[in-house]
Amino acid sequence: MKLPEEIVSLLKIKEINDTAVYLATSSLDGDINLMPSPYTDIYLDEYILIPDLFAQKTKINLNENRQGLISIVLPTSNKNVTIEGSCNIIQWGHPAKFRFYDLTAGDVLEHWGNWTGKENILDDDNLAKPEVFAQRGVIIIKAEKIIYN
Amino acid sequence: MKLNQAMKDALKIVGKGGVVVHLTTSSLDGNTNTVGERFITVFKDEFILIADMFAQKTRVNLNENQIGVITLAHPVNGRTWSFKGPATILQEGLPDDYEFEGLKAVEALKEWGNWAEKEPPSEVPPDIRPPVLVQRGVIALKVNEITDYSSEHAGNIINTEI
Amino acid sequence: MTKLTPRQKNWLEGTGAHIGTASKNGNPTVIVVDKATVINESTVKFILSAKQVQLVEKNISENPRASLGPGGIGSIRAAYQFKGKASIVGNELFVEVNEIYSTKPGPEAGLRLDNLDYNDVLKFESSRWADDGPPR
Repeated sequence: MKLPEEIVSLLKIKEINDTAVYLATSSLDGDINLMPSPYTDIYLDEYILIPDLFAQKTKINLNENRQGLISIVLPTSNKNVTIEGSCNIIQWGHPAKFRFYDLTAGDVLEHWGNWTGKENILDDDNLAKPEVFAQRGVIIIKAEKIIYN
Repeated sequence: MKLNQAMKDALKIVGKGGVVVHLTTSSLDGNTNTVGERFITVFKDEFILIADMFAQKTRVNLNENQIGVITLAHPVNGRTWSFKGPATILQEGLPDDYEFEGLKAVEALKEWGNWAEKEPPSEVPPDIRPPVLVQRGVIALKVNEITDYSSEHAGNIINTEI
Repeated sequence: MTKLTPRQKNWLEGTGAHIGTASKNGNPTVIVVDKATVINESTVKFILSAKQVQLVEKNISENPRASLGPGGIGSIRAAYQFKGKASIVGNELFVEVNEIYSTKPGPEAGLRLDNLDYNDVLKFESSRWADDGPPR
């Protein structure tokens, strides 16, 4: 499903340190993990993309349970919004034609595989500047359900 | 304890498909994880380093329980060795003076932080070679105990410093 | 209920496994057995030496879990990890597998297989490996 304009503009790459999101995933037996990410982008108004900076428990969860939930707070209303849907990690090494709904691994890695080329993560202005930026791939969530809490 | 020359040679085979070990770690409540590793080297005689590329559960375990066992898996040729000791993951970004069991993180990472450059995996057959090497750091194990894992002598201590 | 595929069964039986067990506080011990028998859809049996029994019986009595990585050439060709419930009867170690992971290096390292549809696992295996077990 398409995301509303407000969320799209919030999660699209604009400037560093704009919106922080939490990605929640779960093991098959219900052990939840929350991963914060200061970096997100949107594709086709429907897919939320996050660089995989060696997420550990997130990857372990997605390896057995391909569901994700994004949690953000809207700056206008201070309301919490969650977006749920199918979730996967595309990594360097996936065959280019590997498909996740409307996206192929080749496209994802070409456009989002090197996040530092899109966002000034390594600038000193970045409040969350990492020492070394090692990106293993891209996490993608397909928006299937939106809940305004 | 120091590894002897035969052990160092066994853990460092260049060409012919290299060497494979199993690394076993455990969560604090005893859920073990056993996974094959092939980017291995001996560092300063008593540490075994492994490139950290895809470790997931290994990393989660070492984050809460810093101990590991390395068993030689292939080629064995009678070298039924098991190396046990404190283990951790060293990553770029640690403080400059960070040491693990006497091992300086900067030294290990300087030499082995970029495995693909130092030792390209060209000898690994294409169907089992990782497609892209994205390395995050090195897994380091300090060898405190070496034992025999052959069925006949399982658990017997091997002393290298006689 | 977990079901081992023919390929998994052939590799386990042909090359045995490095078997990880741990005390209830997480102190790991590894034994290596070079042969195994798969006795039903999910249970693997290993024959241990007396010394191997000694090494693992305390761990298994207080913490009946084990992880298996195929041994020898299987450590390269059979990139799996099996986890399950361990029990010892005499000199026989039984591991009832309830989790199976692919450990093939690359983007799918760590992918859990036992929760996929059995036919999808067969497809996964045939598209990624050319063999159905160790060379005979």
